[in-house]
Amino acid sequence: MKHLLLVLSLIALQLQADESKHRIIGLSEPSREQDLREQVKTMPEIELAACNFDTAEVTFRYDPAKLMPGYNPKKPPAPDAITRRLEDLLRAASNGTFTLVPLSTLPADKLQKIEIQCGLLDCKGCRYGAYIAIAKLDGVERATVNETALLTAWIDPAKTNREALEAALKKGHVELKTL
Amino acid sequence: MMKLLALALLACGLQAAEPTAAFFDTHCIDCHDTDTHKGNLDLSVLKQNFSDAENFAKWVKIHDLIESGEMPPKKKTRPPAADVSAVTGWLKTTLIKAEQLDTAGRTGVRRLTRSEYENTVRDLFDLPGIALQAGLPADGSAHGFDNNSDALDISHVNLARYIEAADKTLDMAIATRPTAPASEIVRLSLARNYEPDIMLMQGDAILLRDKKIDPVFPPAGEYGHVNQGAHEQLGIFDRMSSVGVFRHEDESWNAYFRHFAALYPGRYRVRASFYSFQWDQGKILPSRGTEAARLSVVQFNDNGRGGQHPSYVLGYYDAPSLESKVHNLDVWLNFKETLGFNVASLAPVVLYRVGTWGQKDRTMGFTGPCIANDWVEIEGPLHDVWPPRSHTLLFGDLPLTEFKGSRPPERKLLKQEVIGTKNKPEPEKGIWTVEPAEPLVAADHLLAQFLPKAFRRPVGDEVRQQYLAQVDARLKAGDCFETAMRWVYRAALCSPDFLYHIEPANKLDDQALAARLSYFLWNSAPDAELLQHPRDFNNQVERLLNDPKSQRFIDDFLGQWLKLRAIGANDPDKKLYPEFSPYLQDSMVAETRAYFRELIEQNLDAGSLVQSDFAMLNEKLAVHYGISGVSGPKIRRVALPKDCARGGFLTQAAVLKVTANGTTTSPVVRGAFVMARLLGKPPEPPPPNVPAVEPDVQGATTIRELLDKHRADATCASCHAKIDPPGFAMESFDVIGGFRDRYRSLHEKGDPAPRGSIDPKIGISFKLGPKVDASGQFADERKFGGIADFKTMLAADKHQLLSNLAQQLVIYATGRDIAFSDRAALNNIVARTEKQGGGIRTLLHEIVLSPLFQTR
Repeated sequence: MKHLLLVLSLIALQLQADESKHRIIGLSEPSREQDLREQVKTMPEIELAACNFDTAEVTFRYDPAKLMPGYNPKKPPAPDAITRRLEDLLRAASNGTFTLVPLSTLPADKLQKIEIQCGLLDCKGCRYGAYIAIAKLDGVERATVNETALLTAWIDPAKTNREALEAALKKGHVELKTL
Repeated sequence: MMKLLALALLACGLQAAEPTAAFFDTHCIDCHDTDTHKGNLDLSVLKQNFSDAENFAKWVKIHDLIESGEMPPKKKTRPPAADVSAVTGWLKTTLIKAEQLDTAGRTGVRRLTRSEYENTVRDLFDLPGIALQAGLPADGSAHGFDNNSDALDISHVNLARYIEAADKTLDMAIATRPTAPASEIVRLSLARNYEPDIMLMQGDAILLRDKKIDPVFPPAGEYGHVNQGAHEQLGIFDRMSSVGVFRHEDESWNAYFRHFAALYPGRYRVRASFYSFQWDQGKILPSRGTEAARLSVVQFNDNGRGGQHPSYVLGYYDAPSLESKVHNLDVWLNFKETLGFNVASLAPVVLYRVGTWGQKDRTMGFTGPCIANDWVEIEGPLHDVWPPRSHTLLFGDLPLTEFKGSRPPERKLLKQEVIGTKNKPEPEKGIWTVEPAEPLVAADHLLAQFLPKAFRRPVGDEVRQQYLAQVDARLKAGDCFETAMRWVYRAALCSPDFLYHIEPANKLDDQALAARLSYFLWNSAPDAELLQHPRDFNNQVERLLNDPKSQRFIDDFLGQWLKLRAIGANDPDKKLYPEFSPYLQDSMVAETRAYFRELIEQNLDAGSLVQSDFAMLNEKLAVHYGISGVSGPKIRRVALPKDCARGGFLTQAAVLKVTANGTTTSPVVRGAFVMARLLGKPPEPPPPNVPAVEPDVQGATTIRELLDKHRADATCASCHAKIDPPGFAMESFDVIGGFRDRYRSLHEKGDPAPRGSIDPKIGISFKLGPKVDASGQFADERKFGGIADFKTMLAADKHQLLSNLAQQLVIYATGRDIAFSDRAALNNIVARTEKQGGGIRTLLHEIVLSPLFQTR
């Protein structure tokens, strides 16, 4: 009987819940996925339905009545209002280290992979600092950095290039090494 | 007018019978006539007009020179003793009579000094940290002290500042809420509290956990950390890691906890945890000993973006090797004040690196000592009663109620002005104040309580009624009760009754006596106990000396007698004295203060002023003095090794520093200091148009060589024969009080200098110049070989040392110079003290018992 009630409750929840999928800036390295999960747990309004580190895409599940202050079921909020609300919550919980952006419209095979070897980036803060120097540039669809200080970016070649990325890194005082 | 007439009659009458004329004709006039007038003294025209202060002083000098045998000079025929006795006896009687015609008392009307004003307010209102001194105009100084009636003038500027100070006091004193602001405990980490961009990102500090490197934030090495904001966003500095700091504060960088700025002035409890270690390019090893961490109170400028300025040093605290030590402090914080930190005992190194400047490989390339701060905790504001005593002093037990009238008392909205701080004010609802049902009755009662405490004596009905009339007028003008009372309280705090020492002519009454005692030994107003039993002298002096407030006397008296206030007047040349640091300077002052306290507590005799077998040292000073076996920043009594040059004030670094400039020492300056401050024989000022002896700043020529040329001039020689010898003996010590047998020099031909006790992290560029010759000869031709001989000779004349100290203390205690007619009483103080062993504590008792102290 208990199990039945639980299943029914979950079904009911699923029926009420909506989902919203986004590209996310902030997943600089695999450990950041765990950071994201923990930060989302602090937000009772939403749950992380899916997180794909390889594509930097996340899906949030939420009850619009709980998510949106002053929610009126007869006049559901517009999708961009939902996104803005999700962004606000995420920014507050992550101290601004995660940002939502629209899903990429560029096919994966059109993306250009660029690797830049930086100087020593032996701390998570520095790696994030180097990552964020390029991750928000127009044309950068996704980026990662690893403990060997190798920064990898997938870019739209029509919008940016290696030189622009290197310039941004230098501006952020990130030392570069020639590969 | 009557006094002038009497003085004139006295002068005329005495002239007929006086014996000086014949004496002067025989022994003096050859050198002191109109043609020669040696020493600028022409006896042929010197009038016996004693009402003229300048003339009077000349006669006193004549008396003293004849009595001491200094005049006539030794090369001249000695006058018969009977003649000397007749002349000096006549002069003494005449001078005393002339002085005694002034029956109004000699201590002039004098106001409180800045320091006395601040301490009086602090004690009266129980606001022990309110900072008022800096807002008041600087006091002058006369006869060596700023509390002298000759120095304490007053102007409209003073009055304007007194009004501001009264307002500041009342703002802080009056409670504006029904309950005390809640006490909070804020734990602060250095990592998040000052300039991490420089300190942590580039290698001047590291994060630590459990005495190991914090793995989340490896020390900066070949590369510095990048993007401070990214680290802050990820919360890397928010994890309450300990912070190990390598970099000493300097002109461009200092450390303070910027996430806290006190909102509520008051008492706070501070706990701070420190340890130290030796860093070796990534390895954490035991430290060389107990290091010293400094905590200070600093005040933010404006919104904090403009930085901060230091207020005062709280103290220096042990940072033991690899073992955290928690220190507990009770402090007072004013609005917008926080704590500052410094690795006081470390040499000034900078690991920060930009381009090719700074430490190669930053922290990971560095080997040296480090001080770690685990955390600092600030708890407060702490109130044991509410409303606070300051409020009760003003409004008694009238209840605080919410104001409902139309003209509320002025309230400034309390807000956190410092950007980036975490502590915020509690929301306040309503305006709370006191509103008695019968305002004038309440006001009368409150004034009857307040005015005698503020004025330090009973206040007559007529005076109280004047204040009450003002309250009435303000109430009729529409002010609320608090505003009306505030008006008269401010008036009281700016009135002569509060600002001035009110002393009757001749014998002091009980209140004046109590006030004189407490301003002498507490630098503040008397407490109830003293006002009640001011004539229980022995017990009161003991009670006052045993109270922590007596430290104010020590600080204030030594600040002026030994010029400790001038300790920071110049910064030693960094090339010549690279080992100098603020920690050393603070230790110097602490030594001299602790030494004087020890003399009082142990009731040691005046010989100890110049010679002793112990010193009050911490590790910093002990190393500076070349004495081993002292660890940590605490000042304690240390037995001196045999043959050690130290012991006594003359060889204390503070005294040696205040008598030097930042580059060179001068036997003239130091000699004059010893004569004036320790021997009570201040030298005459230099004659006009005689150029000063300019030291050779390169250090190629010694000051003794330069002075020898100067002394070849006969007009200079006689004074310098007395002034220079003490200074020559003190030539064994450099401008920061270090012992030397050769001068430091920047001259390229100097010899390489050994490092000695200078920290290995400090670069040395000075050379060794000429040898120091600390020998000399007193004016009476006794010779000394150096400082040790000199001190022994000086200490042998305990009577002179005690007499001078007695004189300095009497001037300080009474606020006036020693008059000619005071000499007998002063001598009596000294004689009674000597009879009881000559101790300095005894001297303080005898001063208080003397008629000089008990008479205006």
